[in-house]
Amino acid sequence: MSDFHYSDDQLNAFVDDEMAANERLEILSAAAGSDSLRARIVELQYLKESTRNAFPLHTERPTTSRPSRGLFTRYLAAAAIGGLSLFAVLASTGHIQATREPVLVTLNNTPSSSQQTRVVFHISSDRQQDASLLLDQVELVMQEHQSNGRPIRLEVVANNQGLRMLQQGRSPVAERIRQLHAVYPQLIFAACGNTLERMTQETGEKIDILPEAIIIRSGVSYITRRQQIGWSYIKV
Amino acid sequence: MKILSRGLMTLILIAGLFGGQAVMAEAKAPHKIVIQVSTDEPRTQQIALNNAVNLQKALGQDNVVIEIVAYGPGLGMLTSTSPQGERISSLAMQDIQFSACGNTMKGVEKKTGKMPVLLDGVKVVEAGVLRIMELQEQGYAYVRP
Repeated sequence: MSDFHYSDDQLNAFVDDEMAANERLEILSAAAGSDSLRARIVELQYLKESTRNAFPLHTERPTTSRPSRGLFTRYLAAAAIGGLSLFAVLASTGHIQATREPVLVTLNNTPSSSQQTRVVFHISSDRQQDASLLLDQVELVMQEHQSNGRPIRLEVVANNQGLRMLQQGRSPVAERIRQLHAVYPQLIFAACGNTLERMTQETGEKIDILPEAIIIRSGVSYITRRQQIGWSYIKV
Repeated sequence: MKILSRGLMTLILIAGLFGGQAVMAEAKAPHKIVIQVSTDEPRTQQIALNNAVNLQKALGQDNVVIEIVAYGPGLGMLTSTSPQGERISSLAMQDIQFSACGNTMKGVEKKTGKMPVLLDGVKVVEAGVLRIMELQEQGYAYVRP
């Protein structure tokens, strides 16, 4: 449970390589022993990379200090910036109607938003019929996309009583999740860590999560972030 | 580094200009809302219809596009045996679109041997869940009563 101690800010600093060496080491060693911490770090890294890909100019990574460029390059850059600004002004006032569209297309043309379907499913009840309906829907969507060769990222988040769907020895659909996961290994089942912690405290029972599932810190904030970056959302 | 940051500022400037325009264009476009019905609870189904009617009233019929998608146990709301039948047929004539999940209908047919009969004004979509995903990708707001 150690990863509950790390805030998103800390993990962001880790991902951005802005941490002191000893802090970094501490998080690395904690991550080595925690699936959920690893999942959070990978998720942040993914967010960061996909945001960076959305804006091609950002991809130039200023890793090493560049050799100083000549005066000429500077003039060229200044001229280019001037030209771009002029272009921006003209375009915004409607003077360059014809060329405006292609610019927008390049800005928006990220693979994640235009080609790949991204959807997060949410379950918060422990009724078996809800779990079954959810898995029916998941299977349908995966099949449909696979048969049409359309790329998809699909995640299932379980919180509150919905956590039971991912609980070992309690889930009425454990076998089906195992099969689905075998057919579609990219499918993600995520259990809410907050719920897990609270349930463990309240009931005193030891709750194990299915091996196919990962543990995330907060189901709700995870879903919110997904929706913010354009994922579709289905609540069962 | 300086050049890079200047380039970045220009990009932000351009993005700002276009962004402003996009927002302005968006304000003129109607609101788009998809309402999901996936339960057979009559109360929830009723709330879904109330939501649609109230949204239409609040935003004005011409300023909002509403689609109610029913699948799974929620399909019953859109069939001939629905207790809400009359209300739904009349709402369908007032620009509220009702979409029934074709996949669920096939499932019912397999189970009972009979294809469910839909109410007047109800459209069939391939799969309710795919329809809801597609609408969200088109910018519809998602409501699940």
